[in-house]
Amino acid sequence: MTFNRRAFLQTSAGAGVLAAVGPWWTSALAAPKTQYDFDDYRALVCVMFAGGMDSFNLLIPYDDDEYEQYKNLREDLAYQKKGEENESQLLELSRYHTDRKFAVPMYAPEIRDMFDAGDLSFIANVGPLLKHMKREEFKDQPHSRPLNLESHSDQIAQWQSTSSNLPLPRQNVGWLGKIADRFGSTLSNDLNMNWSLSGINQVQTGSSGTSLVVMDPHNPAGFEEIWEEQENNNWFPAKESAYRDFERRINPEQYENLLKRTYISKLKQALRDNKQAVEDYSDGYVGLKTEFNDNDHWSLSMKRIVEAISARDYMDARRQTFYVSFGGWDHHENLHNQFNDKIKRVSEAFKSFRDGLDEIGMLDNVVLFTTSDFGRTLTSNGGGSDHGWGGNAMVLGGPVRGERVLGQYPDMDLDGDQISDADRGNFIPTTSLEEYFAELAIWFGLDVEDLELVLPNVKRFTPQGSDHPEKLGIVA
Amino acid sequence: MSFWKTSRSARISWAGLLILPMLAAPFAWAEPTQEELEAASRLTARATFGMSYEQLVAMAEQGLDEWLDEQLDMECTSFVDIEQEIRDMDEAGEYDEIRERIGIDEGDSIWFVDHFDMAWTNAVLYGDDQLCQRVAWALSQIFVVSRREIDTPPFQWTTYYDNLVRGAFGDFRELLEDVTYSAQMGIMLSHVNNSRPRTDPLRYPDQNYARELMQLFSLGLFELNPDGTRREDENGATIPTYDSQDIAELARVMTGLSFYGEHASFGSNQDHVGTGAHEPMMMFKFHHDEGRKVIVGGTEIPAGQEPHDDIEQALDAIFEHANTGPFIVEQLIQHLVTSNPTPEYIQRVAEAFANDGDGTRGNMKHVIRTILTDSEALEPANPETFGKLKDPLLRLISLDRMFPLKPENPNESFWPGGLHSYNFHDFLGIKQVPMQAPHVFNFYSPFFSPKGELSDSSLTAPAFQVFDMQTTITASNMVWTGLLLDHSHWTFGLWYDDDNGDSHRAGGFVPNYEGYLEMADTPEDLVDRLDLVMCHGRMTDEARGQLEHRIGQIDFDDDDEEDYGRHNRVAFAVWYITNLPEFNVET
Repeated sequence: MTFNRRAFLQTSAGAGVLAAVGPWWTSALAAPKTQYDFDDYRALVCVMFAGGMDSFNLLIPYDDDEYEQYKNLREDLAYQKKGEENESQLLELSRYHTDRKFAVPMYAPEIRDMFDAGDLSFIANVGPLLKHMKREEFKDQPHSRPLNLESHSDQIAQWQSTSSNLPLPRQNVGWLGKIADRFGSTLSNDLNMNWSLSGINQVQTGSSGTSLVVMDPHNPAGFEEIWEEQENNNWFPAKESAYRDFERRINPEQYENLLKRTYISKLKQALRDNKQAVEDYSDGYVGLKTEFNDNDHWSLSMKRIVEAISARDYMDARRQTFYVSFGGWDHHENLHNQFNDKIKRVSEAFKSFRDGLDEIGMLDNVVLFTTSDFGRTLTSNGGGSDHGWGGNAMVLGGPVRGERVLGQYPDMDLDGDQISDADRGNFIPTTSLEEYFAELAIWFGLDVEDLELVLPNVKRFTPQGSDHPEKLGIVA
Repeated sequence: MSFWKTSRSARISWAGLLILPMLAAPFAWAEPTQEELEAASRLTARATFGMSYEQLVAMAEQGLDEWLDEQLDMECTSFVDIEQEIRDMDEAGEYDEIRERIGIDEGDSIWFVDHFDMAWTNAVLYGDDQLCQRVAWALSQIFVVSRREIDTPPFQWTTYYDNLVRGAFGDFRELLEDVTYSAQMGIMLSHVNNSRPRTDPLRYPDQNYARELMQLFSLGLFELNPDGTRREDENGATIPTYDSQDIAELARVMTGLSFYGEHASFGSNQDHVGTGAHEPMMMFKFHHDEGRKVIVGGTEIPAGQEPHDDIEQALDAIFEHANTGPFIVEQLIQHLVTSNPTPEYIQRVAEAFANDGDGTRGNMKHVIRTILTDSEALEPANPETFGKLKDPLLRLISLDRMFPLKPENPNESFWPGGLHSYNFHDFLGIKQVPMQAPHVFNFYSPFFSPKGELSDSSLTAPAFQVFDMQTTITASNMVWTGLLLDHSHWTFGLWYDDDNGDSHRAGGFVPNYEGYLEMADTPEDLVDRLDLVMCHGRMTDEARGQLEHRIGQIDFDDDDEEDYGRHNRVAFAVWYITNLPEFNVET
């Protein structure tokens, strides 16, 4: 955390450096190569399975030989295929577009149904990479590995920024934030196009001035009323006038201290954004008929996203992203009980989300994609698994070419050449984050010319003579 | 109360900032100067959960060095003791009246009496050992165990928190050991029931605790210089402190531990051992990996040692590692004084960590004293970048110490032993509740840098990570509601129906504005006093002028027996200030 501080403090010890720093929202941005102007609505929804989802127990090989390998390796962590003594714990997926058999846990029938109906696909063995590599190169070239593999905080930062060669504190922006920098305002009320159900996060943070729009999933109105309890309250004028002071009379220029200036800037923006959001959102959102589980935080979060999308016309919104974090996937122990319960909640929440979008007629305008810190070790620590690397992700929505397992699903063979750790069975990803996200970014409307500004290492995965990575085929 | 001690005999200047005032006459003490009061106020933002005006005056009269000495000599309030007191009172039937009033059957849990929340509330609000509790609060954000991650009975939480309370003024090596053996940590990071490797069936030791012990509790990811900056290799690249092999080896050390109990067996869960989870975990030799291990820094742990010696040796190696001092003290400085200490400041405190002058490493009292009395803490070289954003929780509860709580109804005695609790469930909207971080990475990261001026200057400001569009307004609204409408809401004022079917409320607390109401007629005086208590006298002229103007707009009526007008002027002014940078950023 002190990487550049000495240099900064030395400069600032001299006089005048603060005067030389202009207002921070003017910080120099490379001029966009493309002026963006959209006439339709599209949204990307980023779901974060925080903690590192054991996703080789989400998408499971189902051909007899492959299943045996899976079972032998995963041991007590393996889901059971139907045997002489047990009922199957697995649901086989449609084979219409796959040449291998796959299954999902029986706790996720909705995921299976959406897959079979063509609304959902998987991306196999995806993760941060600096280049495609096999086991030998991994061993021989430590500098070609992403930094701090297996560390929660670093791997989350890499999933959100794709800057897998930079240590944590240097990467404080993410790829959806950088897209927002390029697109500029996509909402008529000047709210940031990036909305979060889980507070401040890296993936949606960009370099331009405005902060994320943060919704509270537990608040039916989505946003905090600034003038709460105003009725029959003779206090209302005092509070209103105080807020007017904070908006207009108390200003960053009155403070020399950077933290104080940051504080008051953020308070001002929060006041403005909440008022704007409450006004537009509460006027605009549709009461949904689709059933969500209001007792489940995840389902509730998905509901707020659909409601927010339903209010798009009140903000003349053209492009929006949503971020939500579903926590608690760090299953070092008691994997089965915890995973069964969580994947059931995910499956149901995703189905409600899909149906909700369908209800408001927006299914074809939205793509949901999942992320996680990392996959987990194939081998067991006795009831649980430890931190791994490559994992499986899901994409869901009308534009998605469903019913597919995209990328390359690896062989479950500890001696195989896609393994980085022969004891624990960690997979070297076969699909990079850049390959995963570039296709989503292009669908979202990003010009291929701007890809490198958003995904800094994308050239490492761009074939010679092409201007973008080879497409996985997520969207048509 | 000890703060009231008035001896000034040994007063020396507070590291050069304070000047002994000339005494007007022999045997008559002069009032503390404004500068002395402001210095005291500034110290309270770092070393306490807030102090009233009277307490500030007493601190200034006592002298800050003496105050600090006294604090460091105090015995720290034990959470386990408070919890025991509550349980004893419950068994003695002292909660029966509450049960009856609220309509809870005998034997049923009183849902609003959470023993851990009560212990925290009372230790922090009423304990004289403010510094000890403030450091324990910082440690609870480094050695994170979360009630949102694991569901265990309250006594296990008070037991765990006492490790931190002891560690605050204790020995860092012992703290590492207490945390390592803590059943609560064993559950949180799953090294309870962690077994040696086996081949059939294939099993490896759980790496969870081994990893976070190094990443979060001692070493960090990158090799550090003694001043906390990152070491670089010949190519200018950072150097990882350890690799996955080191983690796998340390995971083998952390095997064989399970819950304590006379008839305990390896693999038992906390429900089976009952109060055994109160005790440090015990070792089951058969399940410990006895083989040779080579851990971080190349320390060799020979085969065939006693299992406890393995752990002992590993903790020694981690404790002695060159990273541990700078890594831990930088975070302590961030929690107590400033988000961006200079490398020189970090180095001075890291040296204090390495040696307390008597050759002892990890003497926390010496570390804390060094942090609070360092020249940079007293006179920052770069005031533009100095300071920290107040913890969101302290934004609320420090008010209850600045304007000490009193029962809403002075005639009632509601809570047995006077022990009450915050309604922390209602605090979730500000994203900081004791022992309820979302995960082991705390409420916010020590590396967080809000986008804008601070990130452009490569400066961190951790607490800004939970200062978003929602929490900003939620916190402001909570304080508004608490101060101006219904403070009892925070403190579990409970509604019940009496025999006539009328609703009454009991058990709530409200802030005491004694001493302030008299000043309400003259906004300048009122703001002066609040500026001192809440902003260490740092309010800008613009904010002050605006606030005085707004206070003047609130009418009061001398015929009003309740004197609502004056009360509202004070409460409004306090709320107004809680929105200002001068209050929220502690410089």
